[in-house]
Amino acid sequence: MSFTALIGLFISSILINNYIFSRFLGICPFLGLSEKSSTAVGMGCAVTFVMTVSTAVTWCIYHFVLVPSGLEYLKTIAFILVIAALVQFIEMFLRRYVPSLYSALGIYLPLITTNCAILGSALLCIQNEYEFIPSVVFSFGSALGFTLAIVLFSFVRERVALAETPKCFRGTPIALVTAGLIAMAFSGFSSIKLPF
Amino acid sequence: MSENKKPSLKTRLFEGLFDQNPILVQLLGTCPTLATTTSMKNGVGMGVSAMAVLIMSNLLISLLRKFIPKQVRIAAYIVIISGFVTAVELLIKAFVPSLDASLGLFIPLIVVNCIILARAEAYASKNPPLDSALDGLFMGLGFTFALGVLGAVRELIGNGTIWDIDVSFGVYPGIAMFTQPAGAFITLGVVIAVVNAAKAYSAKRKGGDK
Amino acid sequence: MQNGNSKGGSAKFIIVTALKLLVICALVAALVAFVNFVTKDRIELNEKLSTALALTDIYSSDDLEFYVDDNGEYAVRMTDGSDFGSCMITEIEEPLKDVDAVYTIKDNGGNVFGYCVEASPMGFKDEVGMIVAITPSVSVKDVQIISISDTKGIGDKVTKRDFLDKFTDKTYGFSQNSAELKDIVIAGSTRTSEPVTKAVDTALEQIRALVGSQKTNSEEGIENE
Repeated sequence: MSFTALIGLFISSILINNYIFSRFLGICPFLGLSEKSSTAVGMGCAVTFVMTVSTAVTWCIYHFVLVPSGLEYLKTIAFILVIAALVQFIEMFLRRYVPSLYSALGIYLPLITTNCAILGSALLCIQNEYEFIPSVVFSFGSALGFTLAIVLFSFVRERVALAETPKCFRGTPIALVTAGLIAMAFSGFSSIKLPF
Repeated sequence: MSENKKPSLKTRLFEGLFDQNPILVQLLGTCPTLATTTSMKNGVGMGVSAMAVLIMSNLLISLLRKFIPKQVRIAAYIVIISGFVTAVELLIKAFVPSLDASLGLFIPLIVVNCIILARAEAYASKNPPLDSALDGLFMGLGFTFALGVLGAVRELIGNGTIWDIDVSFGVYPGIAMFTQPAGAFITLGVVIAVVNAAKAYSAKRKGGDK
Repeated sequence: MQNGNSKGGSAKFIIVTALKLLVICALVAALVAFVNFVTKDRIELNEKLSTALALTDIYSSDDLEFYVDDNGEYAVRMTDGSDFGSCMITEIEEPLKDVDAVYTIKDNGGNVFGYCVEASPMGFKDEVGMIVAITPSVSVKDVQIISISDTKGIGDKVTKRDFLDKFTDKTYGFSQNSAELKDIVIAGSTRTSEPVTKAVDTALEQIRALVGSQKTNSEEGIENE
């Protein structure tokens, strides 16, 4: 893959194929942790970190362990275990060596194992037959897209919380409608034609 | 649910479908909900696949509940669930290939569907096998029901069809937005609001009767 | 995932826990391996069957029927059951981008009746599986979409006949003509219809190269004689 194609992949994974607004991956944390912008930023950073690392690791496991032994069909099990172990490992590593980062991201890490965006990213890279470098670029871009979405959404939600909404719409329903409106705006990106 | 008195099957069915509906009330598993309800067929297909996994994993986890060490239970649950998901994925690929084509990535992602892990932790790990399997069935039915309703609404508004059958006599052009992501969010939001309103109304009625 | 450290973490406890987890893993792996064993052949057959079905669709006007024979290989016959040549997968060294397979269909006399190129260009989100049927004189006979998971109502416009019929009789290089390309691509569904259009052209290029190489081979053969 050429360098320009990589840039194209990067931009499209952030804006055009945004995990939240076009692929529906990672909706649970998106709805659950977006009430305050500070938690949204923390979750976004944690996801970015874990997704990039885990996609790189699962790619290696798939191509160097599962494919040679003909066990491709075990990929879902293998990936989820690797991700769970990796999250645990990252947590221990951060606590020991980078305590400042741990205190910022620590509480979000356990939630990440069951974040479908992480497993989805790993599976998508295999499904789309990306090479190693494009996989890493794709997962990093997608995670940035996730962060962008959750942070933007949290700003809007902070404002919506002050508004007087009908009783039955309060809480999640109005949040979902808001997300729908943002998704509409994001769908505008889909007609962007990248010059490369 | 009280431990001493077991609620009847009918109440439990209603709990799964309405009072404790995994999507509309508990808000679990929103990713597959939004992604696969572009049509009623897809929604129901997803619901049934998840229900199959839910029943089997609940059954097995309940059978093994005394064997699984408490400290590593989540890991054990994840292994069991992903095993069943892979099995279901292979079976769908082999026998219902058209469903595999339309659900794609979201079949393996049943693994991280919070409903399944939540039921394993909250119910199957504490109750006998038969009850747990039934719990899986009822919760699965609730999931399928919600997905079916959402899929039907989106398909009707977005395409003028229900279950691929044209119900608009060809005069309705369809609002494509409803089959797109934006419509997914808005439809789910409105459906949950309607459920909230219905609940508030029935609570009021009950209060009035007394 | 909590470790047993809180409970003193004696060696025996850890080993027992690990062993139990291992037993569960082994149990699940055995289950999945069994299901895989049962379904493996069936999945492979399904993929071949859907290709065969698409080929039959393409050549329905010629009364040809494609099927998968008992050995799991592609085969072809007339719809009335009588014999008709063969359908072979043609091996290609370094196929062009997005080209998955090339099928050569020959009649009873061994003459080439047509080529089919299976391609999977990247659509809006995921790959679009398609088959391009090409005549021996390298023009498009027909295009069929075999798998698409794009948004219903948007991306799936490319499966409609009025889009696919625009490719009939096109020859190599048509998509480089911007007016012609604009005429084919569906406005509002550019991100799926354009890759599909490009893939049709790629298929033509692939067959042009294939026919070219066969021609030179046979000419060389004649010279050698």
